[in-house]
Amino acid sequence: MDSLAIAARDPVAALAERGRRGPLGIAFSSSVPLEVLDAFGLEAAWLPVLPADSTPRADGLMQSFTCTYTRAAADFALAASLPVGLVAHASGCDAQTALQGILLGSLPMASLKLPIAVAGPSATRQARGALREMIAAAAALLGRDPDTAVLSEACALRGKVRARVTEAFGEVAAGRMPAVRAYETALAAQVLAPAAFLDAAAAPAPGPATSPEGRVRVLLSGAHVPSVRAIEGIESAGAAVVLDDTETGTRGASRRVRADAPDILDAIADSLVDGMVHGPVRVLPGRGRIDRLIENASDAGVGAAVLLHHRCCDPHAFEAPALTDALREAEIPSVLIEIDRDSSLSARDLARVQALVESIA
Amino acid sequence: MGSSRPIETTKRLPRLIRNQVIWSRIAKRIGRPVAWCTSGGPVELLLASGIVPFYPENHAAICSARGIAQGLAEKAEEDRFSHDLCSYFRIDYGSFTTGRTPLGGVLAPDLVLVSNNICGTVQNWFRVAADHFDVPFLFLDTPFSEEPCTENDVAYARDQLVHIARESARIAGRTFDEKRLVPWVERARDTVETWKEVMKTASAKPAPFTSFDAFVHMAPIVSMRGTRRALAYYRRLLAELRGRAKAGIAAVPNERARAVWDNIAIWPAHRELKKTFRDAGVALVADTYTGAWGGVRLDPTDPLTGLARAYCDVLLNHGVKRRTQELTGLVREYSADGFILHSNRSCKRYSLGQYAVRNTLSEATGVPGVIVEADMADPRSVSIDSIRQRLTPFFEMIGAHS
Amino acid sequence: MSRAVGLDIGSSATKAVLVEDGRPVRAVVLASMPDMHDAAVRAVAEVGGDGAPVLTTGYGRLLYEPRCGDVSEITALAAGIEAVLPGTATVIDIGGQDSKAVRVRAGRVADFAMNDRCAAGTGRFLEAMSRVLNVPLPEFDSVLASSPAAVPLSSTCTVFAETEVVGLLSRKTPVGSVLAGLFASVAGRVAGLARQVGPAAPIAATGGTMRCRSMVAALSAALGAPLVVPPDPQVVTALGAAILCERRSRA
Repeated sequence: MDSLAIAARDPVAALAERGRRGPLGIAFSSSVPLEVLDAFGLEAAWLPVLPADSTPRADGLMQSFTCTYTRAAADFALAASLPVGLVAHASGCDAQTALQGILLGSLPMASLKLPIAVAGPSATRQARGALREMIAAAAALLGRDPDTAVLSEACALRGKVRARVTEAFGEVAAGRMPAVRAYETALAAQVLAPAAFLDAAAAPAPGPATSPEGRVRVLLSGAHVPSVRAIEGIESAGAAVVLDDTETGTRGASRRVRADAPDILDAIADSLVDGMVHGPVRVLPGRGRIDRLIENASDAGVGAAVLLHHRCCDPHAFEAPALTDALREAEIPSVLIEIDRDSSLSARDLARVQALVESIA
Repeated sequence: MGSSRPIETTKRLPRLIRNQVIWSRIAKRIGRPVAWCTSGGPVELLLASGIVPFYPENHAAICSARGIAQGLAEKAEEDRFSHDLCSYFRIDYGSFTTGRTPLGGVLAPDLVLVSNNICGTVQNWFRVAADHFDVPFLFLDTPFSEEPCTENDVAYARDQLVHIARESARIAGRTFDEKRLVPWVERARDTVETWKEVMKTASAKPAPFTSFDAFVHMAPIVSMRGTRRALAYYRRLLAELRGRAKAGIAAVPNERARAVWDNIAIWPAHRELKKTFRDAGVALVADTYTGAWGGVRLDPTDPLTGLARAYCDVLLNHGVKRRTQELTGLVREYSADGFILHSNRSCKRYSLGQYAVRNTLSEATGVPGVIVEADMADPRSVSIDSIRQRLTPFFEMIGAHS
Repeated sequence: MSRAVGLDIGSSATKAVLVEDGRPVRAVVLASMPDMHDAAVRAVAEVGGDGAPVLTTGYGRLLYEPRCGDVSEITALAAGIEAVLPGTATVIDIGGQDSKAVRVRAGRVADFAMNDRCAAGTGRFLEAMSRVLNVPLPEFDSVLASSPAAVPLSSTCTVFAETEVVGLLSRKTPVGSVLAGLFASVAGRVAGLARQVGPAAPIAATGGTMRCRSMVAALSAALGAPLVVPPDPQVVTALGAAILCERRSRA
């Protein structure tokens, strides 16, 4: 295994390594611009789904109807086994939003009040104002301002990281990279320092690409992919993931910051509104998201879809019936897998994927 | 002190609500548009354009209190909506897709108006409804924050209010006129002020009015805010309650202890719970749910900015810190001996953070608190026995017993 | 003569069926616990399948070697029901951990739905309640036969239902009435699942729980449709696996 695979499979170890170099800047959401945390001199990372089999600290603070992502992220931040300089979170679902109040007494937290409705000039203005408010709050907590020179450098570097992740999924669609490798790349990008990630990602992918031939080509839709093992599980049941619609994968990496913008903070804020592919937590005009997904699925020659949801993830749960119906209309059968505290698929979930594959094969 | 005749004004409530329903139907029939609106939606903008509001949240609560929630929720689950989603949504979905409602027919919307100041669920729920009825979706996005809202937030909300005002007026075939808004905003403010006074009567010992009453009497403040009828109703209720307070008429005979409630009512067990409290001699003197409306301040001199501020400022648009402050205030103001936090599995926005609230609140007030696990509307997630198991020792702690 | 074994390694029972020339010859049912692998090995031996190819299915389908392959229990169920009740359009199975509804077209899966992770509407829920009531599962039918009408139970959550049941019993509600309420609750939940796939007639019901006649009656009532239960409802999935196995070895 190379360093990408190692970091993807053991994100806690990767974060511990970063923590030895300096205090961590932890983001709870793909909508927190990591370049800003970099500019504060923090070891910035966007937390992936961390092991959630035992989360005693979070369990004392949040009810059972909190999703695993939130629970595990909160537990990790509270564990205090690593130096945490700042925790940053962005508006989104109710669990994410509640986190600030729940953790505020215990951790230095800054909040990014991004618009939920992401259309129109007033949304952009809100994002610009909110980003500055978050930076001011972080500066007050850290006792220093972000370094502007570092910010533009970090902005470019983070852009390259996201471009590399996007590219990986492009290679998956073209059959040149196994999906497992693309998710390893995406998960590693969340936790590694940008320079270290880019170094590792520049090396050719180890091992031969397994061909999706003979397997059913699937679309994977959901928020946070719980682990590389979950992808391996889906593929072991006879599916080949060829198209991604997850926060971990293509959505989180889709943000584009205009390089020629006169004001870098405005450009970053704009990228969080107009410059990225949004998940169901944001309100978009019409049925844009589902229509686009179906179009992409048809273009990619997808035969089936796996909706991989966390239990109690409301935005995705609300979308599931309409998405399932739209997929069915496009003659793409789908299966909904709901994962809870475990990070890989249970035997019964694997049976569902296998049944889906068998019903097509 | 023992006597407890029912509150007279209550008798007028069913007729008030029935008339509202009948009036809505007539209005719809003569071509007035109907808007489905969230409880925290800027209804004044609709009213000013002659649009008839309808409140799916209220409707879901009524379905639950009338005992038809389960079948409706199951319809949503059959259509593959997760059982973990908000029960109000599932009930409402079951109702509008099957036509089953205790109100004699679904009042179909011509538009929906949503604000996420009460939760992140409503924008998804009302989107499903808007798609089902194929009607426009108007959205007021109020940035949630732990801290008080900033001028940036207010400006953002105001921009959207302008858009909502113009769009809803267009749908109603009118042009938006801010001046027409003023009387509605004024009446809404007066109604809210009167409602606050109504709730304050419960600070008397013994309390003439409890949250169990407030849960029922809050219907007009949500769904008829800004109307003359609602204002008249609350004035009458206030006069009666003040009289009862003066005469020492207790809502709970032999009031032995007083408690404050957090979160939405538990509709499937509303009656049993009311009786449990009554039998134990515990008066539920205040709550954050019906009190949420008491917090809204409207400014008729600059209606839109005032509305923007008011709608950003509602309790549920803020986090743990504000909720703890609010509850601390209620415990003190109403001389409560303890507090009850309803951990409502349907409402993440309202419930997450309660574990932290309990500890800080107990420390701040020196009174004990208890968390009960239930659901506002889905009877399958409510066990009256298990609620009583939690309440009994709590009642003993605060000096009452059942 | 062609022989094949279908081995369904479930969470509570392991089932094996031997088919010869497409006909079921023998079936065995063993408890899966405490050693699932051992149960699987014994089931194959007891069904007389030594030397025959084995196709596995069920929760533990990857535990057994040597196997000629594995299929999901959903695909196996569809094949099995077509063999015992040809022309079935929908099959509902209540197993130990899962309940599922499968739309079947000519022995193949057209659509399916499975319960979420909650135990409501599964055999596990009834097992838990059997412990609370202190009535063993096989006695459910006879207890029910002698009792008045069901009391409605609102809770489907196992934990809440337990409190509710204890509450009812402490108020001297007859055990039979509580039991009938429990059946109605499970049936309601499973019927909801079935409606996700739009159940078309004829509808068959399988799984160990269907040996209990009261459960079948409750489910039929909840669906508002008649149900056909095959003679040995617990081994239909294993039979399906055996048939698919034979088909595969022939191919």
